[in-house]
Amino acid sequence: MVLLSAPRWLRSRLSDRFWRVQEVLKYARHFRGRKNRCYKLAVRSVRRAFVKSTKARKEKKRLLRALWITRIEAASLEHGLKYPAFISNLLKSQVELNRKMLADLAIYEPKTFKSLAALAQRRRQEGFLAALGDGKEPEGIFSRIVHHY
Amino acid sequence: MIAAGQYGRLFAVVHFASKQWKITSEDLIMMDNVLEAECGDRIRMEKVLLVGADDFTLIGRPLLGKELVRVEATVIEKTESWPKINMRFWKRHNYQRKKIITNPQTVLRINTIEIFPCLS
Repeated sequence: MVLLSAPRWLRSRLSDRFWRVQEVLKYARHFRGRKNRCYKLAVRSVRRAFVKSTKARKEKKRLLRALWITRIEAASLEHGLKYPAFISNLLKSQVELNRKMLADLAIYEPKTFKSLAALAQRRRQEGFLAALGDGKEPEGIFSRIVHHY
Repeated sequence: MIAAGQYGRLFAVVHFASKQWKITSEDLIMMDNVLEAECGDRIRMEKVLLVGADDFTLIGRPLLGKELVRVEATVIEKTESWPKINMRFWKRHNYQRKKIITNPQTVLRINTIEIFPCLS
């Protein structure tokens, strides 16, 4: 004869509860206090940690750019130029190094950074001459725009 | 001219994979994307923005000429990044989503940087 319904003492119970718990606790092992041992507290802390790390990945880009700008500002002040003047004159002379590169060059290649600062300073003077002179003086050398076609 | 004579180690600023890198020879570079080249392929990087050594720098406006500089690299490794966890959670709304992301990565080794002084 075939039994169509299972008896009441037969239940299906979890057999790998240990590993499911360990999956969460392994991310909490370096936390402080009971949340590195107790599952109930760890679940909440681990969830917050993941969410914070997701949001921080977007913030990191902003933070790093601000850091580079601070470093470039400090380095250009050493050479007697302010940051807005430095960046605007570099862009006007068609040098398209980004802020990460400029900060790295200022740290590891000081002579190159000095030459870039001198270039920006020269372009600035030519800009002033072009604006104030407004006569038949010849265009500056560094203000000429190179066309790549 | 120094370019005709000797210079020490050359460094170059190269625009590659929408990022700028400061590289020298025997350098390792890791990019967060796929390159359509097999492992062991030699690659020539154009789009050089700056080349320098101890005593001189060549600044491109914005790029240096292809006949001036030559940067060679080899593809070493194509792997995936470590599994990054993306999680979104709204409190009191029973909403949480967890996603594991592995980006493909490529590792290049810069073999040589050479300049050919040919100022016109």
